Amino acid sequence: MQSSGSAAETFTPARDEAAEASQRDLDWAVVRKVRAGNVAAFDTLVRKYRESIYSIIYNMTSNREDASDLTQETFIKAFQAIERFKGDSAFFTWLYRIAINTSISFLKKRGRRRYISYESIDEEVSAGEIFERLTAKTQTEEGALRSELQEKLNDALQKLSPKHRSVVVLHEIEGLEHAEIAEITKTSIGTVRSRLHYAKRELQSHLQDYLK
Amino acid sequence: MAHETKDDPKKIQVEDLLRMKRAERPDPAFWERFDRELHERMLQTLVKKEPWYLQTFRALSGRIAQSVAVVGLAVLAAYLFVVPNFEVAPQVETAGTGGTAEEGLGLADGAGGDAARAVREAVLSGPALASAAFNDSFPASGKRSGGMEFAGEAATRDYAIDAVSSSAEAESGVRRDFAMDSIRPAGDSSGGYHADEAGARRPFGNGGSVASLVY
Repeated sequence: MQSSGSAAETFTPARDEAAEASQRDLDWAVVRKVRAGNVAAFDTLVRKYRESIYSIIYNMTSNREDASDLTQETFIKAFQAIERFKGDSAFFTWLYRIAINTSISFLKKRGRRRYISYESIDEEVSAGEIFERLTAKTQTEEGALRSELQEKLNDALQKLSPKHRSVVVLHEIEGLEHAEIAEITKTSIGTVRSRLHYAKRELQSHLQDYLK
Repeated sequence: MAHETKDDPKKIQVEDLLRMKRAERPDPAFWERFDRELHERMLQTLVKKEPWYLQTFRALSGRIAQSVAVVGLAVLAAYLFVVPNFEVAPQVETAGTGGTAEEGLGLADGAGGDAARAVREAVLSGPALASAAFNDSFPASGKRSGGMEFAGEAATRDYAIDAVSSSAEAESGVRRDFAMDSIRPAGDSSGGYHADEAGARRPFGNGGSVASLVY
């Protein structure tokens, strides 16, 4: 997963056990400080995970204002419940779970109404081989293609159910493994794979113009 | 993290499009505002909560209290105004449950209303008149029995006062085994008359079978 901000501050999922254990220990040390009364230590965790949490929630809701509000709500819930975090899972697993549940609860309350508010696109990140191929294929001006693609992608994601959308967001956008997603969503790895397969099939049908 | 297909590397996959969503991110000014708002909200969670009794008071002073007050007033109004209207009728309807004869029929002084007063006077005047007065006053009570009506068949047989007809048997099937009393008219002494011997009145002639009030 790539994210903005300094690499030392923002979170990147670890890809080997040693790095994962190290990350877990670091987070656990901060959690213990917060429990001891050091409220400022919680800022360390906020700065580390805020972009990831925001990205998850934004891709779940397709609304930047809601995403901002719900991201704050996620951290506040985590802060209030930090005494109950036992450390048997990684802190980010626990935090991501709160974010997903908060998003799904919000989407259930919102119902079928959709309030779309797109986030700005980082042109440096969007510019890549894939984008060049798309530009060539569709014969569309770069700026126009970027806006069009953003709208089509968000629209296609919103057509998925929240549980299918969450596995797509966590795997394809946030770069998490199936096992990590299973732990976050409290399902089995088989369920995660099944939902992912179904979600991709649905997205292909909505985005076939760009896949030909 | 690219999931490139080996069969056709030039073909764009869904995963490639989704990965482009990583480019959607807010600017640095957004995060400054975000941090400020988050700190404000976190401080609010740290504010001490009110004591439980104040929280209870605030909860009760709201709509719950209003609903409870309305219901309470309705119950009180029902108790004060509605319940008394369903109280048991005066003792005339259950004559003979005890007490004096007059009280049993509501004939004691001051008992009952105009109806009872009329009956009282009539009873004291004579059986026929008592029958008429009683029937007029209590038209819907019990069965007729030779001109007299009993207040209710459910009344116990332990009557303190029993107004009977001259016929030996009531229609209700209760056979009253009593003989007609023959009362001799009192003598010259006018003090010999008592209310309970009112049946033996001079106008009824010299003896013979007359209706009497029997205790």
